[in-house]
Amino acid sequence: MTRSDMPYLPAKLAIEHLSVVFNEDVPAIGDLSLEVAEGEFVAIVGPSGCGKSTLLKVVAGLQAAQSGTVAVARGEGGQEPKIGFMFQRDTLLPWADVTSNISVGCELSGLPKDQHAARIAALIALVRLQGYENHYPAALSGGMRQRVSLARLLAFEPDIYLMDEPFGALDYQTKIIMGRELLRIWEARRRSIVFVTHDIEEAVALADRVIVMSARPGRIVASHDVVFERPRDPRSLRGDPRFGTLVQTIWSELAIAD
Amino acid sequence: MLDAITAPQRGVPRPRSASRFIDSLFVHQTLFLGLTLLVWEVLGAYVFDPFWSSRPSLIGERLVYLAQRGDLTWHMSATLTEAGLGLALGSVVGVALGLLMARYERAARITEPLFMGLYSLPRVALAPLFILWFGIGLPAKVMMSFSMVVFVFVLNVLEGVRALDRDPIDLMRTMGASNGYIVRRVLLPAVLTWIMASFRISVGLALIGALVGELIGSSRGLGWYIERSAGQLDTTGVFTGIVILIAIAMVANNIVALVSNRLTRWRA
Repeated sequence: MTRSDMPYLPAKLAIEHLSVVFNEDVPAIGDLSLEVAEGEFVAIVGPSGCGKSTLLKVVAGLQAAQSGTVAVARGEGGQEPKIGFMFQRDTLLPWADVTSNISVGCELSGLPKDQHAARIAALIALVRLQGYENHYPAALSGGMRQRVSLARLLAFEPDIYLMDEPFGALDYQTKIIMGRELLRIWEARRRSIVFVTHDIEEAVALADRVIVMSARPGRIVASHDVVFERPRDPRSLRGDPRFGTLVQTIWSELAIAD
Repeated sequence: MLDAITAPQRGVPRPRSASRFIDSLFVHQTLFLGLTLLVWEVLGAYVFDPFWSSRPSLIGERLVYLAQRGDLTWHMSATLTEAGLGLALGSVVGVALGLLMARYERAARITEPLFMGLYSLPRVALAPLFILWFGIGLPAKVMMSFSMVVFVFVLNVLEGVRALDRDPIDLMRTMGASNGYIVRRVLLPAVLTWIMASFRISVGLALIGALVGELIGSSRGLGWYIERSAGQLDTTGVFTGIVILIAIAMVANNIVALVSNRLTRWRA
């Protein structure tokens, strides 16, 4: 696989004919092509083990592919694209407090050091963690830890966000709140997001487009544009009949794909 | 496989009122110690011949006598220097070796059985060899102490690196972090807890090393004082040496615990 960074790519992320095989004989992803536009929020749903997490890892450069290409467009200044990854687990540093964890994003973003404090303070306000600046992760709830992760990701100012079930380990209520927060932040400053989830309602509530993947080897079986206007409130969407219809459609596609 | 890290205890809140002070753990500990000494004193005076078990009052007198003559600092400084240098050397060499072994996994697998063997070897067996190599001066005792603690550091650091959480490292790699950054931000802080745990285990071991060295051949130190007192059937002298050693171990353990708790505050 080659990961070329073409300067004038029409899409932010272009994946072409990607195949991934584990241990030489376990196919994980089979001939998958996908384009994500600049500023587009794409959600990927699929049965467990369909390779959706693997797909993100390949884009992030954490997993090698057998064939196909993955191209991420260069950043605004023509520099190497900055790829932001968010795991289901918070992956915070347990020995670093909230401020220090978020500053990892600043440090790796190349932001001049004298601007770190201001960006961290702004992000702590954005993810509503004021008063917890000097708390260690062990003293925070799961939802708060994921908000710190999100702030660290935002501090890095990625060109593209790869989110692997970022709210999957949270309870239902926290998950809804986090989804709303993510939309609020994203709508203020649109960046391309590839958001992997097994929660169809979450995918429909958040994304511009929902991609449905089949069981292993993972391929795309359907793609749905989500037409709800922005800015959206994920809570009120759930009462909309079109929301229920789309969720039902994706359910039935998943049942066939499984 | 090694001595597990014990979770640092949270500081007991300071009692404010007098009644809470009387109930406090510190007071109870002091009372218990005082009671033990009292029982010992009474038994030594009326039940046993103090020749066998001495008496706290005699030990107290001896302590004052030794302090006045300057013998106390003379012997204590010797033992502390030996144990301190052994611990310092052992920690530096042990951490470096542990990191090297973690870096070169193949070499670590090859050498690990030997290290485990040396770790399990009763190091007393090395004492005659060290006397032969380094004489009966300071170096032999430092090496004894060193040999007691170095493997604790090697094996703990190795285990610490192996137990590293890969996810934050992967995440930082996708964000373009350099090796140096990952070492500074992830590896060293993670290993630090294991190093602190090693220090907790090693303080006592370093003292053992110094003592063994002194018992086998020396002209100075608490081990020498105990050995000489025993040779003269001076039970009070033996007990005085032991009491000083207990005090040193307690103080040293508390210092290490304090530093360790401070450095690992993030543990809930």
